[in-house]
Amino acid sequence: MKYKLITVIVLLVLMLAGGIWECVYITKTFRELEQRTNEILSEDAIDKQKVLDTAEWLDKQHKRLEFVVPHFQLNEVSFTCGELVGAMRSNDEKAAYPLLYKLREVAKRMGDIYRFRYQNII
Amino acid sequence: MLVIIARSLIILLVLVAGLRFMGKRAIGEFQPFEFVIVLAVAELASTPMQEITTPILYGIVPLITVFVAHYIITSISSKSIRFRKFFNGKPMIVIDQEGVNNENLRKLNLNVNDLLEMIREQGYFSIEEINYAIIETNGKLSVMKKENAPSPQSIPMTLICEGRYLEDNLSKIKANKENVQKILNKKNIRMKDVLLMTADSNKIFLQPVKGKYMIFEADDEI
Repeated sequence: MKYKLITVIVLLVLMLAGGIWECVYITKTFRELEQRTNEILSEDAIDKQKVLDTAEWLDKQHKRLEFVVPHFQLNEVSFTCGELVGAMRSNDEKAAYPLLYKLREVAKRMGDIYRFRYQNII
Repeated sequence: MLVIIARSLIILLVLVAGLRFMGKRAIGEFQPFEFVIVLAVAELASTPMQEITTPILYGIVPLITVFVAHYIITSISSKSIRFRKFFNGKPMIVIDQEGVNNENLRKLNLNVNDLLEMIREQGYFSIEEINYAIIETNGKLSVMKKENAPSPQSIPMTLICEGRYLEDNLSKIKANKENVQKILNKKNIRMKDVLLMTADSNKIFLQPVKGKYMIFEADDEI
């Protein structure tokens, strides 16, 4: 029976640790995304390099986020980012602004969806 | 498709490991909360098997949580009788020396027909053959047979059940409602106070809602 108790304790610790890591990581990642988009929007003109850096950073995070965030939601972020990169490469600032605002909102909401809060439990 | 196969195998392994972890209990012996767990596990396992856009952790973590919860509940149950009573309920006597214990039947959300069915499944066709009957926490019926109790010679037909005539059965044995009412009048019992009245080829069994059952010879009374 002792091995069962040890197994349960190990599983509980792993799940709690994993859950805390997931919470912290998702919140941190989407907060950073929100920060980056805020930075880009706060300037008078959209900094193309910053947008491309953000897209590259997001692409790296995507692979880790896939473990813990449903893909269809993650893909929405990636598709928006892709459209944004396309708009920047074609120097279409008019098209880029709505996408930046969308990305900022998505980042704000996604962080909330996966945080540990009572609204998500209920 | 390959992804679905891989996910299905992983979830299946987790399920098998978890059910082994739960211990060996036959399905018919599950406690209520274990039955709930088995139902929940079936649902939890199916979605991540098919939904490839959902991380597999969304399937594995709830399964492990449920199995760990089961372990914690059974551990506490084995150490605390009060906790066990709260989670599993307690066995209840439904037939005693006075016959059918209607109060306990009601508490269990059972009726007389359910009880008769359960005792027939155990091989008893009459209440008078039984000393005690207990509904266990897993819903099964345990019976203590009455020594030297006579078995009915034919299948007892229910004439009155919970204060109402069973017209079909009355006509099957060609019984007369007036005669049945006369019997009740003789015994000073109102119709609505009759929980169960059965008749076989030579006996009438009468169980009032409150009080001990009565058995008397049928003769040609009904």
